[in-house]
Amino acid sequence: MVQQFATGAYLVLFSVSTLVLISLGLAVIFGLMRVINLAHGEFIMLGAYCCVFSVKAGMPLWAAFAVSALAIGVFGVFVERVIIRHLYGRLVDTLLATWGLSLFIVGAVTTFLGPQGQGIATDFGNISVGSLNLSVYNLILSAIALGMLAVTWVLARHTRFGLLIRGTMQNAEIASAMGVSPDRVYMVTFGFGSALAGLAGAVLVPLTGVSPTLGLAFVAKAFITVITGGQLPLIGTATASALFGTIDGILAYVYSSVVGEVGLLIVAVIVLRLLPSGITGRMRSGL
Amino acid sequence: MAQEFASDAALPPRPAWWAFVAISVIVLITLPWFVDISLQLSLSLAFVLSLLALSMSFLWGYVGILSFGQTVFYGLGGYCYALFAMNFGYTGWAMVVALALPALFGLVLGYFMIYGRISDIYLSVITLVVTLIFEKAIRSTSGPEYVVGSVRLNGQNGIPGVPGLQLPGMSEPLSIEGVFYLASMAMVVVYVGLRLLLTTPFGRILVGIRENERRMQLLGYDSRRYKLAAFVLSGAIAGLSGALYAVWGNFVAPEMFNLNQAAQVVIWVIVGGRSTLIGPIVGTGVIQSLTVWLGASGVGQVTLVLGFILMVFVLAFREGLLPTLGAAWRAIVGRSGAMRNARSGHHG
Amino acid sequence: MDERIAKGPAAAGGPVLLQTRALEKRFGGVIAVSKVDFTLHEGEIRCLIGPNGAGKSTFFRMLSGQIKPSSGEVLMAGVNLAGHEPFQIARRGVGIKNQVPDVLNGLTVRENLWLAAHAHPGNRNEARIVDELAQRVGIGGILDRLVGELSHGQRQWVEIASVIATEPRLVLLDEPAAGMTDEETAQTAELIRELNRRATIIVVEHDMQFIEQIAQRVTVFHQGAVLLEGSFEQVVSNPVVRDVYLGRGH
Repeated sequence: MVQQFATGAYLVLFSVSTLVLISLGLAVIFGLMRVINLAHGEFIMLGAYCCVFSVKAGMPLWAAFAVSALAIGVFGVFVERVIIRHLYGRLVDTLLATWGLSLFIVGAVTTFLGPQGQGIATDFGNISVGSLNLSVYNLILSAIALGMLAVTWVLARHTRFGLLIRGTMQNAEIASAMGVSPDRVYMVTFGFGSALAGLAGAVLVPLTGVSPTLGLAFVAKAFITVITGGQLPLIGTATASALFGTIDGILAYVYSSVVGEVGLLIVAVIVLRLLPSGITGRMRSGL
Repeated sequence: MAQEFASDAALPPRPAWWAFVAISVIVLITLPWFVDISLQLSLSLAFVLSLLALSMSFLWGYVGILSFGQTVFYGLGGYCYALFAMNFGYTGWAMVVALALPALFGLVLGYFMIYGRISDIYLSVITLVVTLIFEKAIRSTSGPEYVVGSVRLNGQNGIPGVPGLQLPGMSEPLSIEGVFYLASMAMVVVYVGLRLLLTTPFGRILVGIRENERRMQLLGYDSRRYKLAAFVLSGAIAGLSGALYAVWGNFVAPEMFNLNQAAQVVIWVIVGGRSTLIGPIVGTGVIQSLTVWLGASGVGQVTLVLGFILMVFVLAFREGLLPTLGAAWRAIVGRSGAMRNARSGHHG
Repeated sequence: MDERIAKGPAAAGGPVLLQTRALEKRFGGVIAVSKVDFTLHEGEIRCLIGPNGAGKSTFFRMLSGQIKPSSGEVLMAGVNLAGHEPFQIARRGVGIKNQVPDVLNGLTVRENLWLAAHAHPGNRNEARIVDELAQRVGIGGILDRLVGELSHGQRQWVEIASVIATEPRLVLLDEPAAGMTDEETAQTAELIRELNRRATIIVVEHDMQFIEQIAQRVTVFHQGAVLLEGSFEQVVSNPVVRDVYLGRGH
């Protein structure tokens, strides 16, 4: 009995952590810039490829993580400058343009890297806790997810730039008043969100492998989580991930991953019916 | 032709438009005499897909609802036709079911979203998520236990051998030429129907709601009811498109629900322009030809080019090809004040 | 409470059309409208005035259904409308015009009026009604223009015309003269007086000169409650009102 509960808890933890990983980047960008980046899944995919290539080039795993995050962060800045910047305030157009970007990236990767999947192996092994056999890597993943939340929170609360970003979120003029162009703020925010996505891809790739269509697997869940979470990126993502991770984890374990996703959607629709702006939609302060 | 613009929409179509429709019908009827079978096949597909584009563009351009999930109804229509026809043999009734079930699902989904007051952006994303989930769900039905009646769902391989349309009195199912007529006439009927719908009070109210929903509510209209009705109607049209696809290709597959298909619908409408009804038809034709031409070089390239086109159009040609070309034409010919000042005011 | 309701020329003689009882709205910890009792007789033109933040707009929006009250009742002909959707309230014969011109910009004036006329189930021949209405309001000449291209004042009139196309018993107008020239303002005042022959009217306004042209009774809001109610002269000459309103550099 205890064992079943513990296994369940372990699976739920993994499920919640995965959701946090794939959603936080999207949530940061959505919460701070009101931009829905439909290419988010592709950013994750690119991060995964980056990690694979780095490891195959001889880098240790943790370095590959860092490189992936950085590379995709830079890519995000580039995308923001070239595309997103022209579409501020136009929510629908941003949605469509990022969808185009998503197709473009998938097409480009398929053309230049081929459609077949790739992967890397990790040898972290398992540890035994009581009578449970837990994968060490899954635990590392959970730690990284928690770390992402913590780092984002620290950056937002305890750095000057974090203050700028939070201020701009409330009122775009605050940035100008503090002598920084709002443009800059958005650029860095988008870059940061992209870096988070890249890191997510890197961290997940030992478990999932990567192919050009990897993004597709995550897109539905990430969007459901972010939208239900509402406009505050940290609190929203954390609570929505907890909620959905639990539901998805249990349903996927008992039935199948498809049932898990359907369950997510149904719960999301119900939550949105009760709270049309998401869980944190009405909250005025906080992150 | 571009008369379907918002401010003109409520007026009965001008004679020139009727002439255009009549000429088109004549051209379409006589086309099979001059065109070989394989081209008829490609054109039929384009007509079928135009219906899908029309369903999305009607909802977006005239009602103001951006649905990324018309493929849900398209796929449902296809699968309903296939499963009903293969279980019971009545292809005519299968068509009816293929229209009714997607409409019913549209009613349920639309009710939750529209009466649930879900914001526009969330609605769009949810429709996308729904189609993705459908795709995933159907793809996971490979095992022999997934059966509807006597027909296996077959997961990602899809269902082959879907019977063609054979109504009572026909000795055999529709030929390729027959499908051509069916698809082209369906497209014309829906196009004309939607255009005329805009002159009815119901249609005019829909356009009013798109323009300013709050104002319409303050006048006493329950906007939710009208939006839901429009959503169901567009679901039915997309369902028809899916059923016709099944008749055309004798085959249905989870790809009908997938992200690529959903993206293509959006691209057709954006390229063609959503402020007219003829635009999406043209957009579908252009992109389909492009896709077929590119398709020879590999799947990756097609996706890449489509993505590029979508980005370019959103960034540079928001209104789509037709309105942009129309504006260019007018600039060249120099007819400014003479025409109704309809053009500049509309931003759907 | 009673001493604030000035005695004087009796309120327009008709029966009570609208009443609120203890109507209140709280936003978080802030009380925007605090337990207001309000009575409106048929045939009146009532102006609601008060400094910014006094609660008159919130009160107005609770009458129109655009804001749901925290507590209290809004009674029209015996039916409690509190919490109803705007479209339900509109259907009961209430015409609503918000502050910012809220019209269908991409459509012509004619189409705007047609949709308004059609909204009333009793209207059968919308085309004729549209023409008559346009004449009455003075926008007959611009029927085929796109509303988005009209001047601010003209758009306000289109909206007013839309509002009265549904033949409402009660008309709620939020700053109908906002942004208008003096000439347009006078025309609007005339329009409202003419409208008053068929409907009861509540107007939220800031422009004192405009109010003088139309008001019979005036209700002064202050800090979420009714400070004073009376005729225009009584209100304007009242020292407490002056303090609250004009003394603040209005």
